[in-house]
Amino acid sequence: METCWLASYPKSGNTWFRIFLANLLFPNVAPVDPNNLPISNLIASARAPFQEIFGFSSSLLTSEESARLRPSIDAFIARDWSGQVCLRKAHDAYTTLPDGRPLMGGPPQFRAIYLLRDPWDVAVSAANHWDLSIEETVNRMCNEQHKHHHAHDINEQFPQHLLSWSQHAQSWLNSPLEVCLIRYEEMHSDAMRAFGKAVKFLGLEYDDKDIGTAIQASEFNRLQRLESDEGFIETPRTNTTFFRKGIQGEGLSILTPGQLTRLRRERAIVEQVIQDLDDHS
Amino acid sequence: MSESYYYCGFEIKSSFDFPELERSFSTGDVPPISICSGDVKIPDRAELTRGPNWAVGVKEAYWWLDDIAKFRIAADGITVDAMPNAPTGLVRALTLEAPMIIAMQYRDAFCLTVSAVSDGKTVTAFRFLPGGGSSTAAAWQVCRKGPLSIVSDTLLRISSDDSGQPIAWPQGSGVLLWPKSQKLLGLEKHAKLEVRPELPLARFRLEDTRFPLPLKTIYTAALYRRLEASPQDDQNIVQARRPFRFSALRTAGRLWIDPMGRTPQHFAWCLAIARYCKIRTASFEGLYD
Repeated sequence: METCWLASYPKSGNTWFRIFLANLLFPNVAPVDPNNLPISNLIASARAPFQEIFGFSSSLLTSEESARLRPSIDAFIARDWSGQVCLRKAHDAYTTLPDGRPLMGGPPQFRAIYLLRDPWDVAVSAANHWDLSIEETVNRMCNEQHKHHHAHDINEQFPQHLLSWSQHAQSWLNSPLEVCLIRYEEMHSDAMRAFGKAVKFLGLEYDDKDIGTAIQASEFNRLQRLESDEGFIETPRTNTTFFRKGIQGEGLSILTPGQLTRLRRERAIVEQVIQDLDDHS
Repeated sequence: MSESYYYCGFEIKSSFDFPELERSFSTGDVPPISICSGDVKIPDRAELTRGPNWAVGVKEAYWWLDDIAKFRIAADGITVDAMPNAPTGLVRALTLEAPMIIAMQYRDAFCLTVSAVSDGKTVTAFRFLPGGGSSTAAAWQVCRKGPLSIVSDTLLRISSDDSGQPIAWPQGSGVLLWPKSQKLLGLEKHAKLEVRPELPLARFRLEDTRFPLPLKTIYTAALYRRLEASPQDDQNIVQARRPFRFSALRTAGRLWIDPMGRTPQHFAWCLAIARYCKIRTASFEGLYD
């Protein structure tokens, strides 16, 4: 089966989108429990499938050696996928391995929905999620070399090559994959259009009524209430929340003028790429 | 020249050294598994079921890691074909994982991918997500809580006694810990064995359990919500469903069992675990108090 990545820089609506998709695909259990989604939660960087598929612990390999094996894991997972659509979360940028192969696969076996969120709002949300200051988060988002990496430790995920915020978006939008761009802001302001576009891209046959019902079941306020009442498995620490505010433009009033200038520069680069792609098509 | 070592309840007779293993464990009366060097060619036979780095049949299997080593595996032993520049520590560590898992499966011996400790009477296992700290949790129990000893770090072989009670066999290869855990446990000056020079991961020999003991409880972390949280209905219907599902999903090398034709034996093994073992969700306070 073909794999569609649900790719995004962290804190850009990836989880929210998967909850929508779960509500769409499984209306009989909607609204779904975010802690127990009936669709796969398998992120591209997860270590868990490595051990299962290759039969040994990835901790025995360097991060470069592990990365070389990741395309084989993704191909194997797609081969045995039993759901309607093999949609998998990814925060890695679209990069190539030292031997020239793409880490995240090539067409036609792989496609992508790319979720793009205004970087100043990402910064506020990511700072909370990563437990960093806004300044440290903005530095990360503007760092071309940035990757989540643990040289002297290990955790449940492989190091993720994020690059800078603009390079992350560019890497996917300019990749050889067929990419459907969805803006987080539109998921709020015109949910039917944004989610409908993604559903069409995935080749799923649902009408506006089905999509509208799934959107309603995935309302952000409801997810916040659920997290408050029952907790959420992806909440990073006990004293914070995952579904924080989800409002547009929050970062504009929180970031300093200097931080905003840097992120506006990042944003301008990406908007130019989108413009160029639109002109080309 | 052949040396004998203990691993997961089996005697290994190997033509090369395994400094990570010892000899003074109890194995019972099982024939040894041989490990020797030799040329290995991966055949292109249709009866082998293929994965990205393995080809498994009813009587023999092949497992490889590009640029490192190829292995031919059967019930009686493993042939290792290591590349000239492959790190020897890595080749040894790999041999003790996938190829040994396959060799044991050909003898209907199955393992859970868990860390485990014992109090000298029963065994308690820990299974978190890979990279989630199972080894650290087990080592913490031994170093900080005591009197407990290590049973396994990655592979816990489980057999059944005459009454059907699951019996856990010590793995015998110590505990692999990253620097952060070494520091947490105060093991920076403890004797350790480097796995490979490129990594700060090191193998530690802590207090070991040296005899097989009954397995009673398996702890999983809260990260395992999908296995752990749902099952209010499981408990109401059949109490044993959770440990059965856990053991089925967390069997080391479970993808190879069907191509080997060992599914009935594996099913019976899962049932034995389900009948006698409890699955509990670990809390941070409970583990690290």
